[in-house]
Amino acid sequence: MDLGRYIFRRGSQLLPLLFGISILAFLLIHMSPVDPVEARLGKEEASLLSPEDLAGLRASWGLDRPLYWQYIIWLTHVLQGDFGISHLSGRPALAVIAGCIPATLVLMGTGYLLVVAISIHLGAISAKKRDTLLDHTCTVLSFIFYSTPNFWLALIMVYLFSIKLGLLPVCGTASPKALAFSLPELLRHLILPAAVLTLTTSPWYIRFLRASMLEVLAHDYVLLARAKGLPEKTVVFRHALRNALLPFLTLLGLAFPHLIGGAVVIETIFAWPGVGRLLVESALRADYPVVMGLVFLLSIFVLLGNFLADIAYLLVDPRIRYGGESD
Amino acid sequence: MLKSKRAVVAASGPFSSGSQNKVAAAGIIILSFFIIMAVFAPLVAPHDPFALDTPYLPPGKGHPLGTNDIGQDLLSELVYGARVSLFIGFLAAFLATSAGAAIGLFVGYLRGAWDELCMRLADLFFLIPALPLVIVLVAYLKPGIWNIIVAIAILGWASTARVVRARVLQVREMPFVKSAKALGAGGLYIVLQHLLPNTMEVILAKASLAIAGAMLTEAGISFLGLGDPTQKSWGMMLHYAFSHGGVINGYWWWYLPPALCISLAVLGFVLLSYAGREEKGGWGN
Repeated sequence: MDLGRYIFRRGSQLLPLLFGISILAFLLIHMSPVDPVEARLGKEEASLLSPEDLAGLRASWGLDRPLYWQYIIWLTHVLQGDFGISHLSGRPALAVIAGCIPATLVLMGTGYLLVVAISIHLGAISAKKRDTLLDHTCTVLSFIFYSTPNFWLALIMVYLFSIKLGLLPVCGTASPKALAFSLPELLRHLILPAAVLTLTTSPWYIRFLRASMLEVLAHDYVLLARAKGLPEKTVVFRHALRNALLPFLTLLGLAFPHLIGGAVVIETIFAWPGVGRLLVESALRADYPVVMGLVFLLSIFVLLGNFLADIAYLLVDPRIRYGGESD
Repeated sequence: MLKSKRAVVAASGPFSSGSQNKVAAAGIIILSFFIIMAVFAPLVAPHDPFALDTPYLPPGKGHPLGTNDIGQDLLSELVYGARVSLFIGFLAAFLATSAGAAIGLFVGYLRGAWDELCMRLADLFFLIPALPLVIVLVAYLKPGIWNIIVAIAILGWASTARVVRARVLQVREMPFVKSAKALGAGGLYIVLQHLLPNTMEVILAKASLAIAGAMLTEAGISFLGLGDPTQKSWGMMLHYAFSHGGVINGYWWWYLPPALCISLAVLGFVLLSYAGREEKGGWGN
């Protein structure tokens, strides 16, 4: 009952955000230096048209109408999945984007799972072993990896593992000789990009969970659990960790924009055929329909990720269901 | 009893209480080094960074770090690069943080419809992936340091606004604010005299982190080829080192120093921010 209502309320809060994103995306297209007629027909085709034809086309597409009207026209197209035609490939922008989604999901999914697993483990352990060598090492490494630009780490790892040691492939998702898809081949290619994504994204989350754990460990119920003579492992991992994970869940919803930012750079370096590399390529070569489609879809993806994290929070913490919404 | 125990925990942990000052000191030392290098670049650099000599020289006499593909002195590029990279970091972070702080202070104090509107906007900006949008904006506006600064600032204000507002919501309920109000103090007076000083710590920690973030972003987009080709930032040096054969040929003296400078400068700002806000995990909110 309550759960359904909460989900509905949170869901309806998404609508204004989606609306905001659509306006933002539209304004960005509107600002773009490329003429919309060229954007739709391609430069060569548009240059063949007479000025009268161009004016006629502009009128028929509503480009002579006021801005809000153009927005409505654009939105109806977008809602039908029509983001325009990619200048570079001549295919619909949505199809171009869709072709890159699987690769990104593989990379980001792996990165996400690793970030969650590593930060929970290291965060909890370094809180438990506070002020030991392990904790200090973890802190120093967190700072180092946080301060290292991801492209830089990527290149060091390529140099080390691919060029010097020859253990792993330099880039791509499969070796050029491979004819059919093979999972071991994909995994071999995934190791370096996923490692870089994880190493540069995790530090923030490790630190957060460690702080959250330290706070929880100071509570009376932890003292009680210890006083009852429970093993330290049970106290830390069963009693404390569960509560420390609550604020961490919200943070995990916010990890998506973080990971996407990392994926953009890392995919470009490793020639990983995902949406991040597509974005950089399209932005560099002024393929605006694809760029705007990507910004729009990535934002929606992030929004949904955040929404799911909220629901997860609700499922594990009944206090939110019964108390009001926290500010 | 409970309270004192928590205080003990909050005060321990690595880099806290006594060692917290050491962290701050380490950050300040690192940053002073780079700032002095940037300010006194003409005195420190052995050559004009744009002057041409023999290309691809290894480190040696006259060129301590060798030369790049068009024969410019790499050490001089590095020294002048501190100016560009720090300038972009400082200005972008200053714009983003002051806009965010102003919004957070005023909507937190005024509440009501403006609060609602600005916080929804902040949600929007907080959630949209920043780096892709910076790339798009810079590509639209044409690469240039001003466009990079503006793009980073536009997309960076939201988290400061949220954190400052949350702090203001606590402070505005405190007795000294209420008594100021009862004495007839105006809104602007209360915001500037009471709320701003009490949120300054949060704002400065955020600003320090924002500089680190802006420098990483600038390095990233420069590396991807969207940097300002007329300016020699550390990111642009790396870009040229990678695109013009510095890495493939193993010229470590070309690509290693700028990367180390970026990492160290970012580390300096992160340490400073961390020292300011240990109890919250150190890094922002």
